[in-house]
Amino acid sequence: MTRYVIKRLVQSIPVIFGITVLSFAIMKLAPGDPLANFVNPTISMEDLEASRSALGLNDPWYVQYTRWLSEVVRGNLGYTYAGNHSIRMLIGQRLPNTIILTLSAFILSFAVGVPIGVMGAVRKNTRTDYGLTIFSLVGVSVPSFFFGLLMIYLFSILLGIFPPGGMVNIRARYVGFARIMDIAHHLVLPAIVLSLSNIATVSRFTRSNMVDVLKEDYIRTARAKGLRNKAIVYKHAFRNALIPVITIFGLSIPFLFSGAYITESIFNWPGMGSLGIQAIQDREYGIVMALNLITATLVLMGNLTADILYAVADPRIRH
Amino acid sequence: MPLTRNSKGVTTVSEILRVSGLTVEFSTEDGTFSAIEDVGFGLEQGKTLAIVGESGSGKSVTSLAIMQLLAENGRITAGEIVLDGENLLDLPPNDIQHRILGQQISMIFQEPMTALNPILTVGDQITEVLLEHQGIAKKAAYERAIEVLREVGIPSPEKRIRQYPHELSGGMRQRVMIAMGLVSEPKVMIADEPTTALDVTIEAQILDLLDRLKREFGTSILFVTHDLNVVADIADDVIVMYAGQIVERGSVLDVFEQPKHPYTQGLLGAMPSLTGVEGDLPTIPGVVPSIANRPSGCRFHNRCPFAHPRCTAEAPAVYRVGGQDVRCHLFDPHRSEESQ
Ligand SMILES: Nc1ncnc2c1ncn2[C@@H]1O[C@H](COP(=O)(O)OP(=O)(O)OP(=O)(O)O)[C@@H](O)[C@H]1O
Ligand SMILES: [Mg+2]
Repeated sequence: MTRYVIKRLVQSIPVIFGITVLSFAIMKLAPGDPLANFVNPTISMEDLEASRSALGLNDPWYVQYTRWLSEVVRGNLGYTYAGNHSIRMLIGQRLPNTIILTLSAFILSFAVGVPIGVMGAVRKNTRTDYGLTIFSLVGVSVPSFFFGLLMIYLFSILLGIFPPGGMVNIRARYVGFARIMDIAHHLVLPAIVLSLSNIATVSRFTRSNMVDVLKEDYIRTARAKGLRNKAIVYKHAFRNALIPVITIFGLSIPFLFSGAYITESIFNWPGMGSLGIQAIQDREYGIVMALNLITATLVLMGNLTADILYAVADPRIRH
Repeated sequence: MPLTRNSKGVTTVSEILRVSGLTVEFSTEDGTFSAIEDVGFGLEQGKTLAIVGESGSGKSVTSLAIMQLLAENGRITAGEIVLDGENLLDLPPNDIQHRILGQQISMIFQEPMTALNPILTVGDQITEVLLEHQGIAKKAAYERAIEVLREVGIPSPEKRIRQYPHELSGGMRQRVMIAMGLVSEPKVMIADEPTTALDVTIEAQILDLLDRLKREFGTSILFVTHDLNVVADIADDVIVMYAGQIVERGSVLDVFEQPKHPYTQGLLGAMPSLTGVEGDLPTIPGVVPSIANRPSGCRFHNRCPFAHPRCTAEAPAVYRVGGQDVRCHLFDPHRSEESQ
């Protein structure tokens, strides 16, 4: 198993390399450059051109890429063109916030989606099942900005239970446990909004797997053994039905991570979302590349985690 | 054989399972149809009773009805299933689940590949029968499971018990299924085509095993098959089913020696020769009608070489002929001179 994981990790290095080459090239092919934002009428074309040359922006893209790569492999993500800020620090401030949001939504997706799916399958074609089906359909089809605004309207403006945005209560300046509770309080709405469509996907998928598994011969065998319904559903059916759900497990991580961009901007959550969008507009190549790198790593980690979980869950793969 | 008369009618004392008047209906998109009708037979203690018939004749429905494991759209609409003096159809579902299934009746299925749960070990699947109902300790349950695996001829059971179904061959899996069915020493074991999915040498081994279990443990076996060679091999008594009804019932010796019903005769004619001479296999032309399209009168009349006008019009009663019960107008003692 350890050998397998190491092998997979080694295999993912060229994949990540390829992804960065590709995204770097695409980014460079797009028009615009970082200096366009600084143009002011008093700067002469010659000075501008000189700055460009000094920053290396006139080199061919692969030269620039090689330069970027040689820094990144040494752990240096570079500095912004505007203000010369450390990119590592910028990301370091934002990434944890996005991870908190993404992870909460991830846990919520499965903690809510799986039980809903199981319930729908066990009560197949009852009113409960139809109700859950409608919920899931709505869940996948409602755009998150609409759902987000609806939640803010309901829970912040009408009921006043949750704050409409931000991550902490700036005026209160909580510390320690109170701060954690404060963040959790701010987290509720964005996490729900981010996870909604994923809850729907997970529950539909769980339900259909569970329905299929409950038709399997070995379920009939379990019934023939006189097992209680609970043992049949959980010991025999549920665990088999979960195996395909693992695929969604792996896919969810990048899905939620990129979905977080929109949710963050709805709720003013100080994560990667606003940083990334600003970086693209400003042609802050260093930041955009760092984000690409993180996302690519997440996708690969998600897939690897899924494959490991497959092996844990399914003895036929383990051997 | 001593006969006793009880409230339920005539029963031999050694009868462990008596099914009478069993009727099962399925509701389908095209309406509600009965898949089996008025099925009745007795299984004697320590004997093997075979149910034989072509595909679609109602063998599996009969066995699943006894286990009360019919598909959701199926319903037992009439009949009695008396196991050791207790009518199962009078018991609440809880009782059936807790006290009967896996304890007093067990069932093994045709496909050992799919009938075992792929993600649970052999040991887990065998012991759960004991752990669920008998409240015995896990360790004792595993010891018992190893013992049963040894009894069904699985080599090094201590190792096998920790394995998963995919690590075993088809024959081994079917042995595991049998071990699972035996572990709580049930009174009756139902085997629905347990060897159909296996190749012939493995099939012979499994049949030998079942025969030995019957002799050693006195297990009564209801054996479903469409293979008459297997019936001759393993069964004491046989019932022949056609289109949801029993058409002939008797001891294997009687039925094979002197098949009475034209359908049984056809089946026996269709049997590959026991002497191994491969000739043209005579078969009965036509197929078993589906439950929605059963002919009026005798259900076999459209395939029967002896059919006469009465067969189309009137459903035959069951007649006692020699050692057998036969559902055929040919054996009506008051038969008018009109036929033949
Ligand atoms: N759930 C169901 N719904 C509708 N009809 C059914 C259902 N189950 C079985 N039947 C019908 O009942 C009849 C008897 O089926 P059964 O499975 O008992 O046949 P069988 O004798 O076991 O055949 P085989 O040798 O193919 O296993 C068939 O016509 C079948 O189509
Ligand atoms: Mg069958």
